[in-house]
Amino acid sequence: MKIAVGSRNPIKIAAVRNVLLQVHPRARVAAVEVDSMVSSMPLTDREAIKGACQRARRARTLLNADLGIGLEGGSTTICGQHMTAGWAAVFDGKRFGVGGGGHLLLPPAVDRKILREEKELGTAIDELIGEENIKQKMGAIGILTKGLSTRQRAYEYILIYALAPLLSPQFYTRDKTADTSR
Amino acid sequence: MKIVVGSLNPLKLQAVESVLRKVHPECECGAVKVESGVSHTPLSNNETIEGARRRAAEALKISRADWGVGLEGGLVRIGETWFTSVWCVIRDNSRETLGGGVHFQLPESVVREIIEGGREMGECMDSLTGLTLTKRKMGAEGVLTGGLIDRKTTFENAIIYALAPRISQEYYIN
Repeated sequence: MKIAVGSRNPIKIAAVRNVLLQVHPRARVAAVEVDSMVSSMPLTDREAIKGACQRARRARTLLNADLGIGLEGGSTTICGQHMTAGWAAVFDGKRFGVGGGGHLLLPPAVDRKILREEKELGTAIDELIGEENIKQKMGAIGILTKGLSTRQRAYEYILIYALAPLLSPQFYTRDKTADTSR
Repeated sequence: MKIVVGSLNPLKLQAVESVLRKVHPECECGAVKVESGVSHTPLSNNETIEGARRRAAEALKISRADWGVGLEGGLVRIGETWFTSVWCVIRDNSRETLGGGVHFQLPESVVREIIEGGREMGECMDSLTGLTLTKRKMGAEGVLTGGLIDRKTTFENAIIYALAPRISQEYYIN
């Protein structure tokens, strides 16, 4: 079993390894940088899901793998509140499994940097706390939850949810194999 | 410090206790029965969040606790895909904080039974899987992921996200 991750971000690769090796202990996990085809900071859940699906599909094709996995972070405004969320997509060549969310309110200063200055979340958080490359460490999630969760753990959870339709195909037999990446 | 969750579902209270004790080790956690004021399975994130909001506000009002916690699950369609989502609202006397939004895909047969048949999600999952009261045990996510995750963990994550603006106040000043 070969698994392809559509990103070279070490946090994302570690999350995929931790989850997928529980399901397929002998799997080989490889990573490749792919174009998500969405903006670097998606501003709706729909766009972030699309990005995750594109990453999953392209990684699978490029590395000729059995499973492709895409993880995408973004932000969205629901009930007037601007929150960050992460999405995971898994593609086996036939159907997509998608899961995610974990909506976390962004500090007003970070909000302004993303919405007005069009900065990425990682950069905005680095500037807020005066550290560097936080997105490859505990992430905004780790900082804002004081370590109750971390970016890697959040990716692991959303990936588990995304796997549901592939882990329990017997319950999803009446699903249309809708292509969520379009 | 007293924290009360607006539901008698034991998993919600367990999740609140396990997260809140890490933040406020001395806190006392309880549960009260409240009405969510929304349908048994809300069909949008806005309606689900409204349910969580009312549960938090009612719990605070009835119990006179310091914090009221509302956890609510529902369905939402994003693009062509239906998800089930869980949201958390934490309310005190001056404000509420929202977070959570944990989303996963339910089988389409279950989604149709809920939307067209007006049935409740837990009931539909029970009839699909042949199990009973899954929603008070491992939940739909537990059954569908072969136990890699369970309902209590979903609630815990939602609570952690709603807590962020309260435990990292220094970053949330205007």
